Amino acid sequence: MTKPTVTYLIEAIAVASMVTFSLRALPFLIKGFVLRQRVVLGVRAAMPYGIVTILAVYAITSTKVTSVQIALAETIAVAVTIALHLLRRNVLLSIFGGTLLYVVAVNLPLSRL
Amino acid sequence: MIYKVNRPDPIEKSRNEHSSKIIADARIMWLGLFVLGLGFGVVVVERGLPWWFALLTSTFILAGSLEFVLAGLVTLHSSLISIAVITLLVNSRHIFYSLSFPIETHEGTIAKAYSAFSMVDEAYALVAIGGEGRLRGRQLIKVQVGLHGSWAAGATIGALLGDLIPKSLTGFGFVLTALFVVLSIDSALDSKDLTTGVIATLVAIAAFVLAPNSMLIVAITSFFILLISKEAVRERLGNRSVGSKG
Repeated sequence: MTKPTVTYLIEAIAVASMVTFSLRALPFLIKGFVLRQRVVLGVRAAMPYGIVTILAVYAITSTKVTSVQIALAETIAVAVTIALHLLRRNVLLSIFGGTLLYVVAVNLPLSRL
Repeated sequence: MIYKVNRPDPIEKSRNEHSSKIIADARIMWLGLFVLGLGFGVVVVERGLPWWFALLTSTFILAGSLEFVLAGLVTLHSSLISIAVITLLVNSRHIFYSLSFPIETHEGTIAKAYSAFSMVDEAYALVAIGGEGRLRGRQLIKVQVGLHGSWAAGATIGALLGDLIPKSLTGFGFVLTALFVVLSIDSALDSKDLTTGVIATLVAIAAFVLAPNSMLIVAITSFFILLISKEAVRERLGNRSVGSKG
């Protein structure tokens, strides 16, 4: 396949940039109206909690699982992160504990798995 | 609309403590985005695209998962229309973010526009959690510049160095997964409401199984509809029992 031209690449980036910016910025123009709807006021507080939880599940499931080792490493690292956080509630400890375990586990030379 | 209230603020101190905790979380996100950016840059050059593609996408689009998708689309010479439609699908979740993003705390149109432009998932997660102590104004802009800069620097360095980046380093991108997990546990504990978290988790898993390619927008929209329905039912029941409350 031929290489994409510079013009085409710039156009593609411009299109994706404009669509993304519009999606982020335009809703602010109607934010006042939306927030005046009683039913929205009730759900406003729960949205961030729900969205962050959904993003957490997304982050976990979006890892490309190309081996049993990666799947196991991620499952264990997520479980350890949750356990550490429930026990100590120290953000740095939970995150770096889980991450170090993950990095070590995915890089172990376990060719048999 | 101006929401400024000039009165002594008894919660100012706890707010400051809370926001310094958020700044600590933000630093972790900078690190995570930098490492993921490195990975993105490597993917860009592996696909035969020029290094500046990584620089321009990370600077002007600033949407991690979409940029990975876009790097694939342009190597297939996809039409600009299909790029627009796919961008719309991948990023439409941001529509919901405006409800909880304190853009009104910025002064001036440029600051507001930049804050909206750089309203990535990580920025949303940092400000949306924490109620009164939420990140806002100048501090929020600083956090967003940091997120933007980390991602762009990571992507550009990754694209320039390519194969020189050790593969083992990309495992450190797990800090973002861990941080989202930690933030959701914190919101469950802070709100003392486990149901919302359980519903969100189930909705997300269902969306992953049924629509893996558009998981986020399916999950967030379904969650929003569920909440609205629950609220509508509650309101109806509430109106009925108003008399008994006295």
